[in-house]
Amino acid sequence: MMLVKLITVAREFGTNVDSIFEKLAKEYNFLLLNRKNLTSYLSKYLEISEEDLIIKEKEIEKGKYEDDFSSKYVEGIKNVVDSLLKRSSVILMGRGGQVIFKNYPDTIHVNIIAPLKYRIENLIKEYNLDINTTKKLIEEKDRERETYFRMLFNEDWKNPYLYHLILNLSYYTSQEIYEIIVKSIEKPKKNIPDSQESFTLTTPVNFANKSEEEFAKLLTFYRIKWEYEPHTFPLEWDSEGQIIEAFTPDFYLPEFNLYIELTVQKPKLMTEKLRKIRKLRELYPHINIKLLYGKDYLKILEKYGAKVK
Amino acid sequence: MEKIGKILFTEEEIKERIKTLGEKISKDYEGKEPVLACILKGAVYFAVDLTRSLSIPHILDFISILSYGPSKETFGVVRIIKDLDINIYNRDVIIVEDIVDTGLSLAYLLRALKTREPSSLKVCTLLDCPGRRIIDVPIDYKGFEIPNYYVIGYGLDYKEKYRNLKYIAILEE
Repeated sequence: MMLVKLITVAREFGTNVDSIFEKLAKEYNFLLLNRKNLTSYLSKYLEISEEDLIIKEKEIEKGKYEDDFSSKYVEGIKNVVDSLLKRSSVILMGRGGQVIFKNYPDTIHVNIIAPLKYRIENLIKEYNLDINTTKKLIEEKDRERETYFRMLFNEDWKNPYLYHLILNLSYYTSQEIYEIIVKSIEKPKKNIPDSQESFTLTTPVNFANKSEEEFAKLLTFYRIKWEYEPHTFPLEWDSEGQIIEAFTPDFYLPEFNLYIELTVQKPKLMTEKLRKIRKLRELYPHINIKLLYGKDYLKILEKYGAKVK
Repeated sequence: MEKIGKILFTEEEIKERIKTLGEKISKDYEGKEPVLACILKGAVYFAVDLTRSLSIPHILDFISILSYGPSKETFGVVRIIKDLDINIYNRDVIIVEDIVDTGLSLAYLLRALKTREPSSLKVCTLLDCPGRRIIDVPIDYKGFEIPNYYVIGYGLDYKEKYRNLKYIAILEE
């Protein structure tokens, strides 16, 4: 399964879904950037203390805008995530990731929502708060989030077009949400040469001998594309420019830019072949040619259980 | 009738070499948790001992591919017959081989596993037999380099026999 490189997560206050993404990060080897560790990275990048960074973020959430800091802050988030993406896939919790990384490839933007009633009940259950305090808290946090987005991106974070996936926690369980996200983060499969149908054999060839035919079968079995005697290299010319000697290697493997010559001949003929190959290497130093000697080649075939009659 | 020939590497020599390999891998992967993808069946003995020599956290997994053989007279193709259990996307992976000779099966595996986008993909083989190489494949860690011998023992077989030898020897036929 091939996964996206970046998941950005927006969630309404009171949905308490961080554990879903912690599990996702653990299972699929993503680096989870939550408020805590992003603050640590970001404070180093911005060269301010974590305490000062938290204060400045609070100020943004309250609507205090410092043009200089805000642009550095957004740039900092982008650069920190970019640098982490070079060595790991990342899940970014909040921090405007759906806007900052809007057009990034291999990225999915997720938003987890729930009706106010659900969120109130959820928080009361979780923290044992009274209903009025909970309502106030949710209103305050929702307002802060809205302000943060307006201040930094002039964007409404509830805009559904910022997301690929919006899931309602009052409808799905946490486990179902986890499973939906797992299905959604799979990238479309690339063309993997992993089925018999995807490999087609070169047109039937009249091989000079059984060894060559067996070798072609071996290459085909291992899905290595081959061409039989596709190129002839002139080795010597007469005074009128006519080719008087040439050499045609048996196989060419285009994926490896490699020529292969099989030598299962008698020693006398082999000497002649070796001379030609030496000449070929001198005249065409860029040619990559490999010589498989008779005995060695037969051993290879034997290893695979293929006997050359 | 085949028989066990000259011993190339004794149990002690193998043990010593694997210890060194383990130390090198542990150093190179410090702070990481690589997946060791052991190629069945030949590399099992090597992989097990190699993992015991690692001082870093790691995951041992197994993979098996169809081998070319006399029954493949028609143009069949290689495929994975037992896949890794673990998802290697974004992980450091080390393929653990018993022997790299022609490079054909390893070239296939490297291509197949690369499509899964691991963070890194390296090869660790106990034996390297460059004299038989058809396709050049990268080898990052190797135990011993051997001439073009047919060898048995320590996981390497002849018709499924001799895998359990504690040493590596030349097969005499």
